[in-house]
Amino acid sequence: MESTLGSHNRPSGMPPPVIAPINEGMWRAAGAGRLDLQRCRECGAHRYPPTDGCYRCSSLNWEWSTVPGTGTIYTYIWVPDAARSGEQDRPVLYNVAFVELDGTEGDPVRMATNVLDAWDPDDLYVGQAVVLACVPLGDGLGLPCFRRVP
Amino acid sequence: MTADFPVDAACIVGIGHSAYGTRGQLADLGAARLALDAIHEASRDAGLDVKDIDGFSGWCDDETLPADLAVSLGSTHFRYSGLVWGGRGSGLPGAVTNAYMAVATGMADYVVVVRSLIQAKRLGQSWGAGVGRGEAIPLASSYTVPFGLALPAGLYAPKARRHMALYGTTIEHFAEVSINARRNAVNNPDARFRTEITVAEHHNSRLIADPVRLLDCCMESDGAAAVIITSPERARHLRQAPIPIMGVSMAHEYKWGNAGWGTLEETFASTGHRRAAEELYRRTGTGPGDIDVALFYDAFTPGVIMSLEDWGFCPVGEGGPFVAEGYIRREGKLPVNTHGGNLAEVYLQGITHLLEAVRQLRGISSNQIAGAETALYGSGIGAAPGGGILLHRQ
Repeated sequence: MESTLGSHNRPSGMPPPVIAPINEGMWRAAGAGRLDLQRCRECGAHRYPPTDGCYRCSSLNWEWSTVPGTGTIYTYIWVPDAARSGEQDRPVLYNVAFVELDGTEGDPVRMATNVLDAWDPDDLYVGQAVVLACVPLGDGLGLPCFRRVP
Repeated sequence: MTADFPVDAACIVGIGHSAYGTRGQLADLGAARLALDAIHEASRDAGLDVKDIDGFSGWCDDETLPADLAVSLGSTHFRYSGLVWGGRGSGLPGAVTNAYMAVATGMADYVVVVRSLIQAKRLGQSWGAGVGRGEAIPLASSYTVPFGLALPAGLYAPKARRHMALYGTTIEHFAEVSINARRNAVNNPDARFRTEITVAEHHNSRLIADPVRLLDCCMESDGAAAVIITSPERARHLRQAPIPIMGVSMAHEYKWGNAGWGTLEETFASTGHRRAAEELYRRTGTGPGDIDVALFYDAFTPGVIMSLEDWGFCPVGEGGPFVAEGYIRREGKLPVNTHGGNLAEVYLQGITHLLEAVRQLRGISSNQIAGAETALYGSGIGAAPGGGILLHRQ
């Protein structure tokens, strides 16, 4: 899955996330193919990355909330992946995209992620539609990544 | 001018720096020795006995400790120290604010703002704030590093791309920021990169995090620099003509956080300093039209273009065309980073920009702007709180 010829374009050598009470629900949901975000129990605003308090109403009460898992690319970068590039003239690039998620309440929620089926700079553009495509982390956990919507 | 902010309540009376080196080159000396070299030079510049320094102000989790500096300086009345809480490399305006407040309230007489840096950890390769590659990541990096958002350039590049998509900014615009820095560094004997570069060299430089290339990035370096701040009354008895600090601000945007993806749409493709600009201009009764020289934190070139917009030198979205017109060159209407900045002189997280602001206002810069009477410092894209500093000539 992580090889140059694999089906997923993911950066090599990156550590897994730190699992903690404030984020475990989201990795677990991604392990089941869902996208769960923190949602304020008082005002209903979604937020990401996880925070203890609500940026909108300051409440400390929150719950996990499943969102549709569709969105659009807000911005993105391409980074050379030294480990996968080897001696090739053209480095293998991985992408990091900020995806603005559909179906959220409050200020638009964005997520830094990888678009798994984008390999070349021409494969991504601002405004492009993407859909959730989770990558397993083991132990029932997953990373919320995305694929392009044709 | 509003009555609630005491302008000109403190001034800069001395500037100094240690030797500068490439990353790790000065590691054997240690950060404290570099800091002391800088403080001694600043004191000589001011005509001040180092024993009289009684306050210390730092930022960015500086590894030196004021207690140690005070012992080595022989400070007889150590009575103030402050470190900006958060802000990382954006924290210089906070450090100057702390020194300003300490002096204005009589907490201390001579406060040194100092930054000493040995890049043993390779900031340019770090996974997160101060976290080296291969080290365990903190919880807060769990939403970036596993996805490969694991370089300082990764903080800037998404904003650069968004700026390009929204406003038509181009990599030619980024190149001009780098070309300007190199061009100014040619005349600065302290600068590391003293050869000019071309647009083609910029475009052909190694990709770091597209759209950011190597020649969009600052260097990694070792060194220390210091400024000494005191009251206008005490300044009269020192060697240099004092450079008053007209005002400071350390505001940031609502929901800015650590400059991630969660900022508001209207401030995403910015350095996060529009509110800081508004506060600084309001406190000092000035505006962008009053600024003669601008020193902007230039860790990466796109941030300079956004700074021009945030500090009101052009409308939002027009920073690219502004630099394309040559306006930031030393012959232009707003000379920017006349010392070469982080891109070409040395990378000490902003303080060398402040040294250059003082040199401009003393009339001794290696790229002196004729008649410069005001100089603005603005911090770059980074964690809150950043801010601004406005100096002027008396």
